[in-house]
Amino acid sequence: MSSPAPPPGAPEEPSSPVVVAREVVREYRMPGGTVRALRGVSLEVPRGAFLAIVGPSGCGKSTLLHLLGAVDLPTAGAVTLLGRCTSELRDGELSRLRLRHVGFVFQRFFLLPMLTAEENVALPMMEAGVPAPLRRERTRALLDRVGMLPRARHRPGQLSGGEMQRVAIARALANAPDLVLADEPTGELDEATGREIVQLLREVSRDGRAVVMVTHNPDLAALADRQVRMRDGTIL
Amino acid sequence: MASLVFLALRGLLRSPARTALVLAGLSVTGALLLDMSMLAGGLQASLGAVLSRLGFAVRVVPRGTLPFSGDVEIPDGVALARAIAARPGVAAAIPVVGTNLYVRAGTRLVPSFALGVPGGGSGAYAVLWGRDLPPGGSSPESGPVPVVVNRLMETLDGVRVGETLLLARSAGPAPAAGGAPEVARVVGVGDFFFDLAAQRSLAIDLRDLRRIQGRPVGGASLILVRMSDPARAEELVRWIDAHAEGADALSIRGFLARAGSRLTYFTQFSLILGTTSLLVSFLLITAIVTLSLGERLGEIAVLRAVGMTRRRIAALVLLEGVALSLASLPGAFSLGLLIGRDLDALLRSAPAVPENLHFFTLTPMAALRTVLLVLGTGTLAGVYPGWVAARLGVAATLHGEVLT
Repeated sequence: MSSPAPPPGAPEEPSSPVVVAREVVREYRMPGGTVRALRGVSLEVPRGAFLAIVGPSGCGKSTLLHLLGAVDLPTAGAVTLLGRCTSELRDGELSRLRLRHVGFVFQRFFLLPMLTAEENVALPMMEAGVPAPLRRERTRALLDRVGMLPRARHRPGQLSGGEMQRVAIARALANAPDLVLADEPTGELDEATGREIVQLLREVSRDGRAVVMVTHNPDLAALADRQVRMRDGTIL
Repeated sequence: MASLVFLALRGLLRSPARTALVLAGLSVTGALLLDMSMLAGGLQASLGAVLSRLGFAVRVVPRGTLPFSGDVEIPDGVALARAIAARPGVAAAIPVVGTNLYVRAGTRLVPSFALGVPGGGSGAYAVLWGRDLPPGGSSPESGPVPVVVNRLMETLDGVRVGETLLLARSAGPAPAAGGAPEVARVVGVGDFFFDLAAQRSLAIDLRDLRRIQGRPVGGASLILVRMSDPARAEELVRWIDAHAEGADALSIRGFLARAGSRLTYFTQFSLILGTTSLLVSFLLITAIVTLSLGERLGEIAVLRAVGMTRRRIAALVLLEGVALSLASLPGAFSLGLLIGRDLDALLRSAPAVPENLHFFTLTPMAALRTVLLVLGTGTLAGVYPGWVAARLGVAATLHGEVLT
């Protein structure tokens, strides 16, 4: 008999994985027919792990990342995030799950251009209803951690690519998530800056958070604790 | 909600030049809406303000007419005024006759509106300088007829207090049917509340006027009733309607309703132009919010990924429409008041428009209606882009954004 799923936000047992994918299939209906992006992928990501997913373009890395982060749902199989099967949750529940437990870092940063660095970082906390004094304190601590406190009042347009990605990492950590997903976080950065960013993600995993990074770059993937290789929608 | 309002307001800064252009456009359409809102009830509001200021709670007019709208008179108006004055709660009932006379001042012969009142203190005009008409009128033997003239006669024709005028029914020789010209003396200069623009007016004792007209004292163009107990005005109106055949009693509200029924073209005009301006505002906001949405699908997808629900995304886009319309209000009101002032001056320069009346009047209701309509339009305009944003596929959008 299976135990009931814990309520959202309830602490998981330390030993249980943060996210589990079981025989996950993801298909897209396209004008030319159905495209199968993932073909029965299974994966477990424990707490404190720094996992790199590598593989050629179109192999399903980003699709898998989106499924792990509950921004997309599998066509078949199941993704269990913090003990909750994402396919069984409604949009509001999925949104709350992402807000409280998942942080995203994107290749193109996707900072809101009309907000300053600190406002971008504070945004998920505002959404989560964190009181303003606590939010301010935490925002400054996060910016300090990623080395961006001196540029807290700058808008994204006034920052370099590496700086924007640091701010994006601080934003991903705003609500102290259990899982941080980074989709090609170094894709628009030079080699040295990319390495700094990956080191930063590595430090994040040392806090006990699970970090999953998708990358093309085998040198950067080598900095992760574990590498998962994908091809044609499957894990090798 | 605070975070959505914050984001929506900051969204205005996304592309400042474009926002400024859109706000300029919305200010123009909002100004037109405000003007139409002011026009829709402006004349009535202005009329109501003048009527209230004069202190007459009830007016009695020949049946089916408005004051001085023709030569028709209330038969036995003077007797009716006496009967009204005896009713409870009535302070005074003043029969007034309005007619046109010719005035010879020096070598100039000019037409003038003559207001026949029963002596001074009627309240149908206010003496600015000089004195009011004496009570009881005058007789041919007692010397020139006292009159109070309006300021236009003073400024335009150079008529001064103490000057002698000649008053006549017609510009030619005296008609055989009676009514000889009378010599009059200006005793005062006054403000006549219902003067048309560029209209010469004078006040004269009712009996003196009737003598010039060659008609007996009896009828009245209008009876002005001042109440000692304003709460009894409606009761008096009912009494007059029941007892005075050929006369209508109008409280200020009834007067405005009757005037309003004759001004429906203003309402229709403002309705058509106001609706057009709302439609343009709606399309402008819908277009700009939809376009802006298309440019930041990635951001919307990120907000969803960060944890914003579909409902809140839709609310955010709706709020952006509201923020745009809200930000356009100061411009709309400034421009609207400026244009309204000029249009008002233009319309008031038309003939037969009372000098104290305004077409474009900013009432609290007109301002509130404009604000609510503008904000409502902003909200409605955000519905379609809000729906599009809420339906956005997060993963597909993020993937697409990276590819492009």
